[in-house]
Amino acid sequence: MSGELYLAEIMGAGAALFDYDNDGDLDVYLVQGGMLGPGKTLADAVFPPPPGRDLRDRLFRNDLVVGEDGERRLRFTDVTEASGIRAQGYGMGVATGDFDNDGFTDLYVTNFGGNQLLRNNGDGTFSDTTEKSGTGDPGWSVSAAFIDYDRDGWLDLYVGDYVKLDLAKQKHCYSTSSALDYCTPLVYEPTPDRLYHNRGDGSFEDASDSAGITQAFGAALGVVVADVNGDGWPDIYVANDASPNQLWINQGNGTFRDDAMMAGAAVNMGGAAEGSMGVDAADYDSDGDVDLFTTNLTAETNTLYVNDGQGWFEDRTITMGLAAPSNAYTGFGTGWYDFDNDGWLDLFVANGAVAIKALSNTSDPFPLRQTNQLFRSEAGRGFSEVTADAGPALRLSEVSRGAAFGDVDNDGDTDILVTNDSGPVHLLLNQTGSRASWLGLRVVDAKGCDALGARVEIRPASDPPLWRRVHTDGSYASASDPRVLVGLGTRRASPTVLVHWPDDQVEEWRNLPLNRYSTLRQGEGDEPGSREKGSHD
Amino acid sequence: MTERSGTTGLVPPRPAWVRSGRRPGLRRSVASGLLVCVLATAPQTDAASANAGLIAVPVPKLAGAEESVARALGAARAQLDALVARDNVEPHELADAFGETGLLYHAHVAFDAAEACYQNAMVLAPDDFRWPYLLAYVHQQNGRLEQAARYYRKALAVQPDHLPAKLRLAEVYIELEQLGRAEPLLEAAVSSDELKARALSGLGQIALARRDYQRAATLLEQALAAAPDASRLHYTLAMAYRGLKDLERARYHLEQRGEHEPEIPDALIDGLATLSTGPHTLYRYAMSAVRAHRYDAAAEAFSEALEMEPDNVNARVSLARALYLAGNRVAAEESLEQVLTQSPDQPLANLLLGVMYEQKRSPDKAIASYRRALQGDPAHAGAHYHLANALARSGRYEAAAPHYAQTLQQAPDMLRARTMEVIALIRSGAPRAMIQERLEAARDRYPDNQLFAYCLALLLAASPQDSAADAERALMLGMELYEQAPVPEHAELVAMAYAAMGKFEEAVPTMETALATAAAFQAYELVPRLEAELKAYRQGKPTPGGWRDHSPRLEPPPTDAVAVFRDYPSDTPY
Repeated sequence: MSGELYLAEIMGAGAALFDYDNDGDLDVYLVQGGMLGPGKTLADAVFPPPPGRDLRDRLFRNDLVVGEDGERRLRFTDVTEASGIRAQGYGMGVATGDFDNDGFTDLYVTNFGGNQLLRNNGDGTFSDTTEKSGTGDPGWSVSAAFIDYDRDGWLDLYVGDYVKLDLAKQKHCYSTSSALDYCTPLVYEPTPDRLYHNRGDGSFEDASDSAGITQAFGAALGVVVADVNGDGWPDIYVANDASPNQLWINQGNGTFRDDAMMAGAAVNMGGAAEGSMGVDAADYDSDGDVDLFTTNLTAETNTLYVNDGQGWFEDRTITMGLAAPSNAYTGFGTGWYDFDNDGWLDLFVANGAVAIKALSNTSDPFPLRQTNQLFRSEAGRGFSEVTADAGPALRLSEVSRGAAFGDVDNDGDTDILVTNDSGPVHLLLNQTGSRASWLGLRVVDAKGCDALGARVEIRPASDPPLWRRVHTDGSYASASDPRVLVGLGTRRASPTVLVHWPDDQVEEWRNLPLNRYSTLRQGEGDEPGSREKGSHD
Repeated sequence: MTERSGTTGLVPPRPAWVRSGRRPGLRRSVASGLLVCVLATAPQTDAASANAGLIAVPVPKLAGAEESVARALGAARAQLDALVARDNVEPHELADAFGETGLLYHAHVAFDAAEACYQNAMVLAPDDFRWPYLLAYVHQQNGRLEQAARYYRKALAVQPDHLPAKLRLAEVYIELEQLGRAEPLLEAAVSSDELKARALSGLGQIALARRDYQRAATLLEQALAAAPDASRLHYTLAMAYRGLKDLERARYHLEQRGEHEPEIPDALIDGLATLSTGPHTLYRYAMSAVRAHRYDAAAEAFSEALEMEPDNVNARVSLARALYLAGNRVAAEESLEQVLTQSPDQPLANLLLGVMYEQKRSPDKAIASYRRALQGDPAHAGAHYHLANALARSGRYEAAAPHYAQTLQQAPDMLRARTMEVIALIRSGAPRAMIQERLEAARDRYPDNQLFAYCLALLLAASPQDSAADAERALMLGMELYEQAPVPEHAELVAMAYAAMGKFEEAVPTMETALATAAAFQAYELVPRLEAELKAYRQGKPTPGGWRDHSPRLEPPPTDAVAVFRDYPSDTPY
């Protein structure tokens, strides 16, 4: 924080939970900002970092130890130096995916300034392959997502770009109090997003214009990839700040068409474009289609868009009980995860304000703190806020931004890594979900790479199916565990699991062991409906 | 407008509406004696007695606030403290003092202090509608909906017929998912002409939430009829029609969608903005008024702010815009002229003045203004575009074309500029290769645009560089165009392509079709040209005449001055 109220200082940063060394547990990548402004040094910082600490992104290796008695000892080791990662841009976010299909997850770091593509060498180190890949994107990017939009087996890359910010021409914005404040994005010119097509040889081509995604754009903050209309082609939903969102429907021929307005997913029910930051896509009501959720500014409510099954949506925020509880908060990172493993997707929102706005009597130089929120699904018929019952971890009041989700201690429930603006990262360990039955799935293609975009259908014996996506994207500027963790509540019988692969093939697994992780590899399943067969760790 | 505290340091005199909030005929009870006694032992508001039910009013940190704001708030607080410290203060007088200080805090978003003031005012004057109403509004602004509902209900207990309060409470109920409680309140508000649109909009949203799309459409159509400028209604109406599977109507309304919602005219709440002191709060109010299309109010606020900051040329340009849109064109021009005395090359001022000169049919003065704008900002897209249009209108296509090109450097998606650039290049006799390059770029960006396809096909057919390939491509484009729109020009194009390929046996019947189509379309002005071409093809001769003469007869669109004054983006409006 330079004290100059640069917009970039209030927007970051995210984090990633991913298994960089393929040892079966989730490691952590933290994105870091820095000092902005001509002539500014760390000595000028409003919140100086601890002495001797240089500001750079960091990689922490998970050294989880599970004792014979099942006790878990979680410990992280800073392996940044050893990794060779030199990410010293003004960091915003991170996306994860195996872009070169070598079985090791790579990183794409978004910055205020040029982005970086860091290739995982598979030996604990990373190489900066930005220049060769052509994915540098010099603008201000926040969220990004790997997506195989043409289904050629190579992960392409969608990058959400925010606004044009020139520090040399800093705009001065005032709140109604007459004091200087952070500007809204409306003061700046939004910049078009980028779509990079993977050539399969380590390089990408900028397909933004030919794909049509430059035809409409706003100040993009949240990006999520999902097949919203069930045609087998991955679509892209972009949450924009203070302007209508985009819903890029994949035409199946290398191009996209923005259907957000007619689809009812561009603005809220009242027709107002909202300050959308975070986003997620999931089948929260278990009706077989993908719904959308965006987090927005204070006094706007977050917004729930419910899919009608054909890729059109209705704003059901109010009727699902999500309006009133979110009105007083500014939401950022978010995710639909089954925190109590009852089979229904719950919702977590990381909150933190963006404008100082009010004259208050506090001497806090950064009065933007808000508590985060947890909403429990009422069997898909609505949500109730259970923040107060979720323990002291949910009573932290900070300026939260990113949220990455994953089972960090491999105990069968989803944990949350929350990043804070000018504050420490917090790892919220779930203490509840592992008490219920669960099924853990690592879904990989024939080459052993996480099958991003695959859909998993879980069919319990006598209940409607549950649907989950294999993904790392969504939330805000963050990347999550690609494994699918399915809560089964009190069920003891192993459900039938069908994987709908991105290439339209479907395979079935039966009798998978409960309460542990299994790997489902394409080609090793059965024809749906045929004899049972299982593959597990 | 009342006098501002920014110059005198005094709290502004109470506007009349502040005095009007108390329920008529009220007399305070004996409790006031006890109240004064308690207060006498606690001269500062921050030592208010719990027995009296008053709470301490926090002192907001004013660091960073403008000097005039800090002075005004400080002075108001001092006056309040002094009153509290006095003996024998009537409760309603004290209530008014707390309330008015609260208003000032509220206007400057010192919400904690405002809340405390309103709470105290409410305790001291429980029958005064204003204080619970404003307290409810503070809570609503901060997203505390349950509290907002509670205090709106309290306000309505005092003044049950206050329709804006009913409407606001209804909107809070909607967000609290208490749709059944919202409905009767909205239905009551429909009776007010001023609130009708907003109330109907709320009822429409309730119907949408219940998936009663027919009812939603009916209500929202009524809302739109009551407030045709409320462009945001088009979205909800579109969703209603979508629910009814009437996609054509849905698309129509989506195209009309805007951000302007039906208003809630409310003297009490609207008055908050008038309490803002300091130029920047006035600018914010002015911009908010601009967004709400209240240009008179915006102009007034800009004027007031400029009294404090007379050298703010950006604000003066914004003043000019507000004056123009409010219908005061003379004052708008004077304001722009004043800007130019301070800053002769100010780009936006020159652009706007140029637009005004065009309205007055003084194209040379307009062109001069646009050129001055470009002296201030050589990349100014608006100045380039309007200059190009002005030049094109006067037939100076060669001069116009580079300015269209410059416009597209800044605004590559501006279809009109791209179209006119092509036309200007054709008409000015620019080299074929340059025109083709522009057309190919235009087609990449707008693959479905018929005009670009037509011009490209025309160029290829009538002036083939690589004869065979060009003519074949021209034929393909021409046939596509004809299939999309079987008009005589497209048939002519196909014939020209055949002729370029030497296939006169195809060109002749195609041209005959073109002539027949021209007759059917009554496009008689085309007939002489088509007949000349037919005659040439019958003789096996190529297309006569210059291809440039075939180019579309497009002129720059007329300048929509209102749109420019209203919509041209300004990086720094003040």
